[in-house]
Amino acid sequence: MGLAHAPGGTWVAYAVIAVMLAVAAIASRLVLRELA
Amino acid sequence: MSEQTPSLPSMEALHSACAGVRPETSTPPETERAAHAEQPSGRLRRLRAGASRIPRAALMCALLAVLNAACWSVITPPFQAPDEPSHFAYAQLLAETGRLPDNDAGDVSEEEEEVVHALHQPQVEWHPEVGTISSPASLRELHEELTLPLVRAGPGGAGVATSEPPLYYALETIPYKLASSGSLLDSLEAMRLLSALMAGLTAFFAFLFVREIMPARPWAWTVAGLGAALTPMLGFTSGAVTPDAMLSAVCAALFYCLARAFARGLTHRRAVAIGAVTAIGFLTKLNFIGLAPGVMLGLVVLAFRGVRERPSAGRSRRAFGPMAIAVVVALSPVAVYVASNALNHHPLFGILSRSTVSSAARGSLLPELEYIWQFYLPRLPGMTSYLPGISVLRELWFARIVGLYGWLDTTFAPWVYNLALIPAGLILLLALRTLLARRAAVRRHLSELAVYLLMATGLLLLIAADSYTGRSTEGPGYIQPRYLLPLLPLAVAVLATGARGAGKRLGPAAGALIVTLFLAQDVFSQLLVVSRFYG
Repeated sequence: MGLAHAPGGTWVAYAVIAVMLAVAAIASRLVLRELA
Repeated sequence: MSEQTPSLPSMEALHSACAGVRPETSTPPETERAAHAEQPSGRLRRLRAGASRIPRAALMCALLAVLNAACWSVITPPFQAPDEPSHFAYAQLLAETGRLPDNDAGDVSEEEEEVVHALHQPQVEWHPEVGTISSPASLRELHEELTLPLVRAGPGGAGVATSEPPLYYALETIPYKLASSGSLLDSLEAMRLLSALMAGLTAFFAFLFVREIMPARPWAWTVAGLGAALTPMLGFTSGAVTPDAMLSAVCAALFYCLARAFARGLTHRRAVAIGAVTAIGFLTKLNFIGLAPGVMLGLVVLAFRGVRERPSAGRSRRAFGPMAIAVVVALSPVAVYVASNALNHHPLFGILSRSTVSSAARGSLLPELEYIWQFYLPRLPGMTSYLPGISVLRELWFARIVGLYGWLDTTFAPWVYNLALIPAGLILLLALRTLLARRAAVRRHLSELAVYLLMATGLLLLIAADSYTGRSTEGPGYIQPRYLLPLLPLAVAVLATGARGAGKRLGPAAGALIVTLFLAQDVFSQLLVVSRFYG
């Protein structure tokens, strides 16, 4: 994923994983706060 | 819900305009000068007050949509989203020369041509068995191309994007310029991130739209906002350089403004907001024309409502005045465009004039109507078959909405689409249950629903008619869910209605389940794209 991209290097894959984990965490928190 | 939130000027401005934020009292004459001196702080106070009325959940949904689209922008290889090379060429031409493209040939800049070649883009596009470049030799070649001083100003071609209005591309010149000290791939990523910001606006306004139409169920707003933010098609589209990203945001804002006006009346401020958003829509993408008849009907309905609800003296002027303002503001870019074409002796409506002429030259309208019908619905007896042996609604539209990425070449295994029919069917049944249970409320809002329906139908007709023109070369290639993204607020309203159908006690749980399903679909879609291009 870090190949042939502007942000190059293997760290990009870890960054995407971290951001998606944050997305899942924020979405879960929002669901628990607003829908519980 | 209404906590103090960070300042978001553009969101606040539109939110305040639609909300009709006004000074609390009129200023007495003797204090006018003093008040005038305090105007900036007063305006700031009103903006802050407007911002404090924005639910924090709406901002969180916007943030999630931006982060999600940003991930998609990194995952999707350069130029492996539909028509991205053309859209990039348009923006680059505008940024480098200040000119709009003047031909739809593929003659882009030397820089883009060389980088596309080095990326092996044509070999990867439409070939799911071919991943993106990864060998050291290919990467070395790409690196060499990126460091060469290649010409950035194209000769004037932008492929399929040539006929599109310039607003989105004009905005994209900002990140292009900001990143222009780097390579083309740096500019492309910066431009993709601007599209990702637009995904945030889409989710934000989808949230507010559902808040207007379902004011009594705050949890349903969150279901809708999260549903929009986590829709993988929104993330994929807004993670690329394409005006569809901006059109989604503009249409979401338009649905919100209309819903607000239907709920609270068409004031001058709301009329200006509706007109301005409609004008922006015209300047964003030609597909917006499909929604315009619905917007005009909405303004007429709102004006007649105003006549009915206001006191008799001068009521017509007061009711139709805002409508006239909205129409004038909305049509101003069209008027400027027509006038400029008339002065330059070009066809008055540009590409639309040519389409109308070629449509008239085709003769009978019946085959086109038959095609448009079959573009969405099962063929009726006696109709010529245009898409034989295939269920267009289930196998093309539904399956592609569930998951179709890259250049329409990245799909899930067939069982995934069959499995997806179950939750989709359940949500639709539950939504139907809600509508039946609340049919009195539905009847009260029939005119408003008719406006949304006409907006949706107009867009669907436009896409199908366009597909009819290009059917010999594209086939079912026009069946792309990204074209339906302007209707995302309506789709997430159906999600929220479905969750409500589970009942007062189970509704929020059903909503949480729907959000979880969307999150799972989004994550698995990203993994699908990763495995297709990098596996």
